[in-house]
Amino acid sequence: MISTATVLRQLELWRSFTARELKTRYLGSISGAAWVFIHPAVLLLLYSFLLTVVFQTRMQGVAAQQVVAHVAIGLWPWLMFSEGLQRATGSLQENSPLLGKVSVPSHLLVLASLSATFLLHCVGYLFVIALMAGLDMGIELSGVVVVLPLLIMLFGLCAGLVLMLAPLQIFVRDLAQVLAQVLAFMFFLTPVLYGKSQLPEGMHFWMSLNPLSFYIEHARTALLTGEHGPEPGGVLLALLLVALSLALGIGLFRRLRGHLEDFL
Amino acid sequence: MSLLTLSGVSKSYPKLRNKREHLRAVASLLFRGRLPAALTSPVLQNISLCVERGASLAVIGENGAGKSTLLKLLTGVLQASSGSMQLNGSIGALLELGAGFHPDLTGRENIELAGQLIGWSPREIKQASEGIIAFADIGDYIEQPIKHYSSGMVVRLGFAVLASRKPDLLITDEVLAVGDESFQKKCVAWTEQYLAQGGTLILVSHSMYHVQKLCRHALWLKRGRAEMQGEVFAVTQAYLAYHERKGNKQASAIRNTDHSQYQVKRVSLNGNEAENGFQHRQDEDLRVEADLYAPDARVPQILVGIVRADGTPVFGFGSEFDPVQPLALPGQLLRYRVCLPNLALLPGHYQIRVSVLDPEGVRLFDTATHEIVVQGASRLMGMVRLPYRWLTD
Repeated sequence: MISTATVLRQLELWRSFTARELKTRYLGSISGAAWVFIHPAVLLLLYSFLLTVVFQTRMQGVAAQQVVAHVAIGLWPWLMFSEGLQRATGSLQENSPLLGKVSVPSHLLVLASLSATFLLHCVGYLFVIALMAGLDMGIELSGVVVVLPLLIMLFGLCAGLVLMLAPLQIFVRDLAQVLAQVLAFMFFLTPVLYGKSQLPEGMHFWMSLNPLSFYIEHARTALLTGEHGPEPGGVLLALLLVALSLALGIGLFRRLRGHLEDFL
Repeated sequence: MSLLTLSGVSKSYPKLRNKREHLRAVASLLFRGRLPAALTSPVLQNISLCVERGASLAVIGENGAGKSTLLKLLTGVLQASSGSMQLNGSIGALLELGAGFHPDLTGRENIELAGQLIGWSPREIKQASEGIIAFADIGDYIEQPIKHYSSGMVVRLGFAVLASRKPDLLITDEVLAVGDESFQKKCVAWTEQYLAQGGTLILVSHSMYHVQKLCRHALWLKRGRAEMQGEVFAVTQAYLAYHERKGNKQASAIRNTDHSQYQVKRVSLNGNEAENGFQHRQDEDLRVEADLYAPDARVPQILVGIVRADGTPVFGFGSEFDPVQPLALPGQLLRYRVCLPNLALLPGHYQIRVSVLDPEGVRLFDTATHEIVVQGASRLMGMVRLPYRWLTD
């Protein structure tokens, strides 16, 4: 049976793998930790410029002052999802020098890669939210209380997905390229640059089929209106989806785990 | 309870020649959780092994015999395709170059990573680090990424990490050969001390010197199967002889069956007539008895030669050089008998060749070849023991 000591050890390893991942990804570069803040600030600036100066966007059902916030709130969950998936999918291959030589809990390598992406963008997200609140862009700061659990659920959803994708990538090397293409298309099918209110009534159902819609729409409601309390049915469905993703991910990873080294 | 028990362990690797087979393999893995037998090739077959605490086992064999695969199975890097394995204790392994280090991390960071994988607490890692760095002795390189290391430095660091752990079972794979002379000595000294303190060792090496020095038992793998298993000197000698024979296929002379000419009719070694596999204890007397067939009633000469299994001559002598008369026997046979007291051959595989020459000692008519295995636990090098004494005054 699984003992407490094993769980603690796994958690500790997960933590240290994540720390290592963060270190090699950003903090190793010359500007170091500053990037964690520079990148989101520049991104926010660019979107503000595009939306307010170049296109002078008006959105139906969104106050003019909140247009940038409307997009930004959707953008960061998307970044976590797409970058998290892409990076973690390649994580096993990246760590092949370890996998072939020592016995490593390989699932932790995958989860650590995802955790690092989520942590970086979480910090960026919170920073941007604070920035927008400070710049009076129509942000309700209390909405953060809803956003954090949403992000944890999103992490669960992604964790299940990468536990499927990462081992598959070892067997089917084109998976990473295919995934990049799929995500490029998916960006436009996800309500980042637009929202539910901009879509005709008849398309709401189709949009809700994209699991990311749930997270983005609820983050928007919470952060733009301050209303907490997404309808229980939707939350239950999202939780079920997370559970399903995790179950499939863990199942597939277990099945393929023993064969990874043979194909590396 | 044995420290390590393997019973009937086999391992197959996928062998995929084209995209279709690749897809078939992946589909089979996804839906059935295993590879179809047609798409795999066996690397290890039916290996059974029992390693007691305090034992030292060498795994020897040619390249591609499955040695590294076996070690990877033991360390849990690979999963066996069938068979069962039981390990009762901690295991520390240094497999191939790279030793499980991440090339982008510095030496120090890799020590940390290795410590975490072993399950050390941050404090334990900190404590062990200094000792590891001192043992590895690679100077400022400890702060450099591993990818900038020479292969020798990687091994130094790898062995240093291993040495700091003192695992119940230590596994090293052909790594001692990479370090320089002084580091090799350091490793050998450390390993001997580790064994003396009751440690258990499994070593893969092509250096029979290291194998004989460090191990008491050996397993010879040949094409994925256990060819021979047992006491280290017996196994290594058989293995070396196999190599010597491989390099000397043309060996044995053609026998003469012409009844009008001189022939070697019968040879016995210490009374034993078998042509191969004669076992001889090191330093014991060897008596060679040969019956020569001489149809013309003259006395042919005998020539006795000792060659190593690869054909290298060791020593030869004949009746021509010494005044000796054979014993005449009925049936036109002449018997020569000779004794080599305290046979000075070192353990290994040899051949005794007995030839018959015409009475003038000019033409060679027939040669009989008998294989002989000299047994012993000597670590002296070469083929024969020459007398020597140390001068101490």
